[in-house]
Amino acid sequence: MIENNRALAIFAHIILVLGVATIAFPLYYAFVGASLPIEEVLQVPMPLVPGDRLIENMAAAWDKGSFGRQLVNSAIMASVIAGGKIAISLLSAFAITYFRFPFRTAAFWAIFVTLMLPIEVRIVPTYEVAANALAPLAWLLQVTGIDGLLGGRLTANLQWSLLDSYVGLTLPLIASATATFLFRQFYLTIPDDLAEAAKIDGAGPMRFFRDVVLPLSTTNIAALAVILFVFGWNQYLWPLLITTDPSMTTVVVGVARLIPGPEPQPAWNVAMAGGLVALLPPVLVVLVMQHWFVKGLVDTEK
Amino acid sequence: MIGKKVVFRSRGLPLLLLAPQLLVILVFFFWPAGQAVFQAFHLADPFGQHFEYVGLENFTRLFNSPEYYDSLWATAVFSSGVAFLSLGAGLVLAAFVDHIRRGRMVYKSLVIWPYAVAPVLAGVLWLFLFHPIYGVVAFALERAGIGWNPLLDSNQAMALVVMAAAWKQVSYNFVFFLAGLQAIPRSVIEAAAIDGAGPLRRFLTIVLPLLTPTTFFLLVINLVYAFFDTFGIIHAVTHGGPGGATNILVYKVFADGFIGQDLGSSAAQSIVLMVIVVTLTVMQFRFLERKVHYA
Amino acid sequence: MIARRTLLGAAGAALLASTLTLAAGSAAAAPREVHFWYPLGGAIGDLIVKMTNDFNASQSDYKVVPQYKGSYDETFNAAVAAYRAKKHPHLLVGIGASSLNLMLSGAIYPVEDLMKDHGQKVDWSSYVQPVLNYYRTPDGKLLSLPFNSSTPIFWYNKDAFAKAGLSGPPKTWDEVGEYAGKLRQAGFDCGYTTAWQVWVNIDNYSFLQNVPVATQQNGMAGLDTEFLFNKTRVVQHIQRLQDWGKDGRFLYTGRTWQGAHGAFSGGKCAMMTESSAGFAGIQKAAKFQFAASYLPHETGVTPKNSLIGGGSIWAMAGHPKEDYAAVAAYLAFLTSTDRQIEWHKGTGYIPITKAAYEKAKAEGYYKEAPHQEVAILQLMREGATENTRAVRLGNYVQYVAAIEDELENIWANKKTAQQGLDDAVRRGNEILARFAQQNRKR
Repeated sequence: MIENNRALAIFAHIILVLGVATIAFPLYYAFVGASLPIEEVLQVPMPLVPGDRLIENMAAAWDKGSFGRQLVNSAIMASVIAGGKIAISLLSAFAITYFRFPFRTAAFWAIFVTLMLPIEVRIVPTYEVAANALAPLAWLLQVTGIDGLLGGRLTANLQWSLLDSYVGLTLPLIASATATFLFRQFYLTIPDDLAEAAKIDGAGPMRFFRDVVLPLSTTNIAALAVILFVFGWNQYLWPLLITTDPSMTTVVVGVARLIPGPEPQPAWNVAMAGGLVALLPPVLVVLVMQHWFVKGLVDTEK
Repeated sequence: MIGKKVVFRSRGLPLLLLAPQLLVILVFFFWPAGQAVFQAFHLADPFGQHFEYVGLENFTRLFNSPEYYDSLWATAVFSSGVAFLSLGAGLVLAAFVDHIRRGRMVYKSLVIWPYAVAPVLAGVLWLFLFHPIYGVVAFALERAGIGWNPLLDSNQAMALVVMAAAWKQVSYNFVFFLAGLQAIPRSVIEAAAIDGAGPLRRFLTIVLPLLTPTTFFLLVINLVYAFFDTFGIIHAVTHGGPGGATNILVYKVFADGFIGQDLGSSAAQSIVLMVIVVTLTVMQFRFLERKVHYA
Repeated sequence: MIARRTLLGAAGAALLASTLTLAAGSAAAAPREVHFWYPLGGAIGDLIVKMTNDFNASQSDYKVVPQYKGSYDETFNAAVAAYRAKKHPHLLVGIGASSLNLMLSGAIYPVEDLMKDHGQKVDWSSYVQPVLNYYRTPDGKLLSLPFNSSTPIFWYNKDAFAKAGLSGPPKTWDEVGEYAGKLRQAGFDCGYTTAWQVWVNIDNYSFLQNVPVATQQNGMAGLDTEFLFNKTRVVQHIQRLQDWGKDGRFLYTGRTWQGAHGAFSGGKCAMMTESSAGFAGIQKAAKFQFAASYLPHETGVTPKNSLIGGGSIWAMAGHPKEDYAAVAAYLAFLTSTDRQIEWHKGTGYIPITKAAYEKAKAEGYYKEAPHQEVAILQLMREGATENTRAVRLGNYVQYVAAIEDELENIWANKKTAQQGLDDAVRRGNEILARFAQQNRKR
């Protein structure tokens, strides 16, 4: 049994309260801003004590932003992205850690460098490929001469536009270097005995994956799910670019639209209230996932 | 690269497992990125009217500019600051949350939420807090007699963007550190406690080594984050000022390419930045990963 | 989606297809869709949507779909990407400073041609000329329609002036310095501050004193241009601000507008140069009497007109001819006197037709908003020269960032005004040369 150190526990609470206060302060301040009338939100500096207009401002934001449909879109986008990233990364990392094959390292690095060229830098070609996702295939057919053999009609018909669609909102963002890397890190900590035992039992790799690797990964999956859901939820530039149909846009874009410029009535309070509305679903996800965290731990170790 | 000692044998299966990920990155990353890289050797206008091969000119231009070297230095300071601060804060908070028994849920939720603030609002919030004229924290500092003017003081400006960038990443690090900590079997720690090791010693000699896979992961990710994912914060908070003090490489890439429409230069800068970070990362895998304690 | 035209069997539509001539063949066509991308959020964006809805309700042949596309930069990038994939909108609001980029892009349909080609008779001479001039080619053709235009003016805190024993606004920069000193003596933290320092203290300063910002008529006459502001009165002006900075008569509050607004509305700085569109924001926050006046000038100089800022509406090329009739009708609608007044009052931007100005004046609007008239009169000053038509230089973002950098070095006293401006010009010229190279084969 570990000693029950009261002093340390108190110290821990002090540090945590301070840390949380620092980290959550900007969020609190947004909450304050969201609850003030416009005259007060424009004071210099903005007050530190919340006002009584929160509901009103949120309603105004909801009204202006047509958030209903956008929230649904964001939820779909964030869930598909998080789920998709986790699924394909679990598999990729498994391949990279549990197999030896040519170009293993190259495959890992190919996935990894995707972190290193922000979308802002490759915006035009990325948009072009979203406007026709089959363009690379068409190019391939042309370069290899296959298209010529088929009379050149094939490439002209290879059209698949992802603009204004859920596929477009999600598929291009579904690869994940971080998730692949994280799972690789985790798999490396799984004792080799387990794989050895599975092999002796005659279990194939997929069986081992399903029965051993996946259950062990629960904590990491839960942690990642939170992070990736929020990542997907907070996407801004991509949905802004590839959707023009207002019914396909996401809530973060809707919030951005509320942010005032230099104008007669800079309604920061409404913008911040909109920000809070957009924040609620991810918060819900965090809470639900926490439940998972804890449950997983109680079952296994603590 | 490190791999498992015990591996499965198959030729086709690993490729099949990798196929979905590789297909997506081929179409949506390498295809467009290849075109972007192509532009590094060209001079072009954004609408595609004018297109001219210029060889290495976009690169030589960079290396002949004194401001570019200032930017390199700013990047080094910024990235190490962000990585250190966000990892340190994330680890301390996670360790304490793991240690305590009561209120875990509350702390956990409160640390994670800031991560969910939409980035478009986060920049605005930072100004409401820290702008020397109308930020509330600036007012408090002024009351306390501390001169605060990141608009003209380079060091303060750097401190401000480091804090803002680290703030956004603390939650992330916290989540993974906590997951890592909770995956450490209780029995290991209990054994050490029975041997008479105090809490700090236990943490340093047992917990921390067991946490190295997570730490290594987070170190790499945080550096990549600081190098590539922070231009939005810089844009909202300092615009790279004062006098270029916070004009880190990726902000320059963003400002010249996305805002300024100089695609050739922006692409050349991206390549330089990518080479720097890939080199750094490979070195981390080569040298640092040896110290990582896998099973 | 864009430029799609669906046929619809609605019989009612036939009744309404009347005045305009395009309907391809049958009268029972769905309204032709026109896409309009704009970068203005908040209340201004709401007003765009409202006016567009009014247009759509006013006739049944066309439907304009307004779409917010993020900031100016984001909207511009979205349009570039979409243009290259042939999915671009018909109309786009671009920031004034990107005019040269758009002008040379080959992707636009000059507004003057568009209106003429589609039977919209526009009397351009009834427009506020200094505003139009900014968007004209050197030979006078209007490229885009001014939309959200403003110009910087001088704001002062009347209560603070009274406290410091001052009356009326300063007219010259010498007076600004004198007033700032008195304000400091009266206990104020700072005398004068400015928003948008490059626009105000380099561009507009040069306009009012009638000195060039760059060669080739500020870039209007050719791409091979160089900055000149390290050789003009601008140097003394910046030097003066640097000196004032040392004793608090000038306070630097950041590159954009929020800092200056905070300092002014918070009662810190009693004098500010800021866009004429900043009024209501100040009004909401300031707890004192304030007023606006003309930008100061040098003693002994008869000031010229000021320079506008903001954005304009560009028509993009490459859509079916019939679509442009809809575009022309929409633009005509936006420039009608009543719409201009609605826009002017609702946003604080200046009206672009003289008729709108006259009517607003007759309605007594400038009694309640005198600052608006200051802006218009300052822009309409007679006797514009080649130094005061526009600043049309490429790679605007990069060169402004370089100038901001160097100005900050001056305010931080790391460089003298002359050194800082020399460095700004050196860096700026490299950027201009690159733009010229990028666009030379045309």
